[in-house]
Amino acid sequence: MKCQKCQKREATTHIKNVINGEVEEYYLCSECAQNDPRTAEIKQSMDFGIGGFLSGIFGGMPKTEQQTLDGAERQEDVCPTCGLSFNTFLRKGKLGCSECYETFKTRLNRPLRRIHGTAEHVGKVPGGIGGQVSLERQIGKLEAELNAAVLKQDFEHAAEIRDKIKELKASAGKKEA
Amino acid sequence: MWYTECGKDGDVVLSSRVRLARNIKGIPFPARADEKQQEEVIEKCKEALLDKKSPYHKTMYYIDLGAMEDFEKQALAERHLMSPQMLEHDKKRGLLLSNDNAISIMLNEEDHIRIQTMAPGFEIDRCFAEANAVDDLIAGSVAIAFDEQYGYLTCCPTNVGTGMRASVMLHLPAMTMSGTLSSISNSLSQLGITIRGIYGEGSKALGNIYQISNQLTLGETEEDIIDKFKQIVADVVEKERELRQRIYEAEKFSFEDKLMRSFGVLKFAVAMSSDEAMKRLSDLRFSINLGLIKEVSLETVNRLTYDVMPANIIQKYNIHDAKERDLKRAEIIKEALEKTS
Repeated sequence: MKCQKCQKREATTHIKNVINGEVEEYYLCSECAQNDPRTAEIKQSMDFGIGGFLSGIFGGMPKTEQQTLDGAERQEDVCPTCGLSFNTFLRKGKLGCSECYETFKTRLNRPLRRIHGTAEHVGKVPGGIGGQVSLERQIGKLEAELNAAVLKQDFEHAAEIRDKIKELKASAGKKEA
Repeated sequence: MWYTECGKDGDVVLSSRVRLARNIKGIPFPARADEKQQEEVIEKCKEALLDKKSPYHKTMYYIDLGAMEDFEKQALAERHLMSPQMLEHDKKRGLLLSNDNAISIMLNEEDHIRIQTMAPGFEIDRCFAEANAVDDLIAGSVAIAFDEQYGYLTCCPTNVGTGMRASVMLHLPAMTMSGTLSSISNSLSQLGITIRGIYGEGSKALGNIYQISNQLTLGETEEDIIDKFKQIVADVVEKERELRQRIYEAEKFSFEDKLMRSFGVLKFAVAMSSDEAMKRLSDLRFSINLGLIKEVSLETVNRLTYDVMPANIIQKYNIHDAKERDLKRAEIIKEALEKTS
């Protein structure tokens, strides 16, 4: 079958519009279909950007939450700070304000792990609040290393790490005071 | 300017860029902020960077996008000084730009603040150091939205954490011609690296120019992300170089013929569309890389790549008609190539 528009190339796309029960059908080649306003409309109504895929990842709820809430309305459906609903986030893939991360925390955690492989930031910390936070972070990291060293029975290394932790904790205490 | 110079590994890497996404604590992200809040974002950043105490106060200036014509904004986007998203009229948007155009801070794009630092060639470390310094300066006077677990909070959850995207602009004619690009792009995506067209998300690859950037922003330090990214880019660069040599040697004469024909067209054509110009300039770039053409420098090609873009022609010559622009474009190219030969 030839394309109904250019009458030259083979038709490969079939567009069927049903508006108020009236059916319109078109057979177009891929080139004409691409330039056709009707297909543009279809493309526009579907989101091929990142937002279109995020809803799949973020849409599912953690099983535990599904069980505990079981049909009851969840309070955190709308962010109290900016008024963004979780459904709007699912559609657009964008959050409304920094508080949204706190509001939707239970539903963001797992999907973030799925996207990034983790939900823990280990990088830079802004200067102002930096000192304290990064110290705690360093201590946490060292404690994990200490556990690993003990497991491996590398006690010499473990002792070194323990001393470092002591040092850091001492300087953290000083800062607080 | 960084976009015309030829830097380290300039035969493949046109330029490097690091972008940091930041938001101000207590103000909704631009899409949900009212006009007053959007203005507040702009004022706070202007204060942080243009105040007399700022080391940038003499080398940076503010551009109010609301006061600009569409083609003027388009010209900025064509030079990669801001994203195409900044062209939309729906918000109060502004740009803090350094005199040498190497630092460009987009205000009220998707996030309140997007710090971008650019350099010619393969210079990711330099870009990162500069972006970091600008970031520290802003954080010194503006409270930044940050969460201990999630890191820097961003409008899109795919940027949360470091908010950092490192990217390079690469000229990959051999990978494109040999059809290996899609398999390379598959392997890269498994390593958390994406490859896109010249103007980023959703854009096509004009003139065989691609943008490669890191995808993940959570769970690794900025330094680790950059180290990994640099290694992968270096591999891509090496592979492209090898492929270029192989493709050329496989069919020397027909290949030379094809490339030199493009040179002829560039030199003698009377009218040229921007798409064709990009394609031919890519061939010219390739010929210079292979040593077939010695009288034209890569800097000239870099400069032409931007000078022939539609909005840049409108801005410089005030030509709004597309057909007339095609004539002007051919003239610009011809003149530039005559000067060098």
